[in-house]
Amino acid sequence: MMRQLIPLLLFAFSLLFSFSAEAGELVVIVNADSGVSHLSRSQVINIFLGRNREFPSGRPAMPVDLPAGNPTKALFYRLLVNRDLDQMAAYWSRFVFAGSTAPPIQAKSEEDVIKFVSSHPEAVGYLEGPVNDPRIRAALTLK
Amino acid sequence: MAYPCLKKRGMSFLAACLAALFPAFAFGDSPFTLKGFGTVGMARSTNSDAQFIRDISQPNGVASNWSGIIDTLAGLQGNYQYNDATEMIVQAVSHYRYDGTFSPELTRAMIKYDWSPRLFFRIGRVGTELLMHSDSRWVGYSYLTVRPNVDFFGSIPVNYADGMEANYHVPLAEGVLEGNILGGVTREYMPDYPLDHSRLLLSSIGYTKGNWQLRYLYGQIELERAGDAIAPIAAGLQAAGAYSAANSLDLVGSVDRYNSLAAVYDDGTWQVQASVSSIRHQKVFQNEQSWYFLAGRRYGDLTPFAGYSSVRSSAKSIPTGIPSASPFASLNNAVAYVTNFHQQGNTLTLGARWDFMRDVDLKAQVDFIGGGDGTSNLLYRNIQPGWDGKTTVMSLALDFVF
Repeated sequence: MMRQLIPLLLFAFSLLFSFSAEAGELVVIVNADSGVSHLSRSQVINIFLGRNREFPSGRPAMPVDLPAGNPTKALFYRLLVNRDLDQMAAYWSRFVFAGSTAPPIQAKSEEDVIKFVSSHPEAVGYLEGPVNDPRIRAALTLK
Repeated sequence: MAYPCLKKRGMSFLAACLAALFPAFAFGDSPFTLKGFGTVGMARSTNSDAQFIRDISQPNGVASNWSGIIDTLAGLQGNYQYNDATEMIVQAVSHYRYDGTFSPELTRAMIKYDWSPRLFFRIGRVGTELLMHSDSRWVGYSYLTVRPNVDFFGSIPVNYADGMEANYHVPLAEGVLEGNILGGVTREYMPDYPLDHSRLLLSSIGYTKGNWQLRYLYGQIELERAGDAIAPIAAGLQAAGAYSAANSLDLVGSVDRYNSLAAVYDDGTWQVQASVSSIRHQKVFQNEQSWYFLAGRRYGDLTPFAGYSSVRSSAKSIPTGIPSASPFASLNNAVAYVTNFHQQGNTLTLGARWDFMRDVDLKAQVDFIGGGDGTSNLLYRNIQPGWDGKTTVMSLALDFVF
C-alpha cells in the first residue's frame, strides 16, 4: 500500500511545486514588431520607474500599468523592485506633485494591456502566465 | 455666439469646457486630471520657552500645547496632457505662511515639454529642488517622516520659482546619469530674509542604479531686495557713518550659495537616506553646515524609522565702530539681533509610518532636540529668557493623496 502511495505523493508534490512556481512568475511583454527581443531587469526598472523610458535601441518606451489594487500589479512590483503598491503610490506622489515624470499610463484590465501593447510598438506591459498572442512577445520573465 | 460653458460654474464644467476647446490625447480617459495631497498634523513641544517651527517662513510655532499649524496643509493640482510631448500643470497649496494665514499660493503654473525620452523642459512656475527632494517637501505622503528634517531643510524655504528648467539623462552602466539646470526668479516672501524676486540658479547631477541614488546639488540666489526688517538697520548704520557694517547689511546683489550631497538606498524593505549641506551667505547671515541620516524598515504596512541630524552655524563678526551708549544703543542691538540668527544642535528622531489604507498614511514621531550652544534661535519663535535649546517635539500626522 505504502509503495503505491509514494509515486502518488511525489506526483502531488511535483504538481504543488510547479503551481507555486507559476503563481509567482510574470512576463514583461512588448510588441512583436518593436524590434526588442530581450530586456534586462534594470532596463525594465528604469522604464517602469520613469528613470529612462527607452529600449536598448534608443527608441522610446511607454510602460502600461494595471489598475490600482490589481493582484498582478502588486506581484509585478514585488518581483521587480520588492515594493508593495503603497510604496509605489508614495514613490509616484513625489514625481507627480513635483511636476516631473509621470507614472505609467494605466489600463483597465489585462485585456486592455494586451490590446494596447499589441497596437503600440513602443509599449511595455506585463502579464501573468504564458504569452500566446502572436502580436506580443515576452521580453523578460520575473520570478 | 454665446459659449454655454462660460455660463456654467464648477470644476467639472470648466474641465468639460476646456476639453472641448483642446484636442484630446490620452490613453482611455480624459486628458485632464485633478489630483491633490494634504496633511492633517498635530504637534507639541515639551519646552514652552520657545516655539518650534517647520521652516523659517513660519511666524509662529508649537510649544507646550498641541497645535496643527506647522504641518497641516493641502494642495490641489490640475494636469492637462495637450499632446504626446506637452503637459500643462497648475498647482495651489494652502499652508501656514509668513503672514500667519493659510491663504493658498500658486506653486506650479508650467508647461512641460518632452523634447525626447532623455530631455525635457519646464517653463513657468516650477518646483525648486534646492536640496534633494525639497521640491516635494509639502507632499507628506511621499516620505517617511512627519516633516522633512528641520535641521537640514528648515532654513531653506524655497519651494518654487518662475523660470525655465532643462533636465537631461542618459543610461550608463545599467543605471541612469541625470543632469538638471534651472534659472529663474524666486517669489516666496519672508520679512526677515528677502529671498523673493531674487535670481535663482539651480543645478544638479545624479546617478541612479538599482536601489541606489546619489545626487550633488548646487544652488545660488542673488538677492534683489534689501529686506523689510534689515533695510532700516543698514540705513541707520549708513547715517551713523558705520559704512563697513552698513555694507555687510546691504543684501542687494549679495549671493547665497547652497551645496549638498545626498545618497538614498531603497530596496523595498530598508529605506536609508543621508545628506550633507553647506549654506554660505555673502553678507550678514551666518553660514550653516548640516547633515542628516534616516533609516526605516518596512514590516508589512508599518515602517518604523530612526534618524539623526546636526546643524552648525558659523558666527560672523560685524563691528559697527559706533558707541554703544544712547542714541546708538538700539542700532547696535539691532545689528547684534540680525548677526545672532543661528542654529546649533542635534536632533534624534524616532517614529513610525503606518500605511493603513490606500493613499493614506498615519505617522507618529518624536524629535529629541538638544546639543549645540543652547541658544539656537533661527528655527524657533517667541523665544523667552531661559531658553536652553533643548526640547522634545511630539508629532502626529495623517497624509493623503488623491
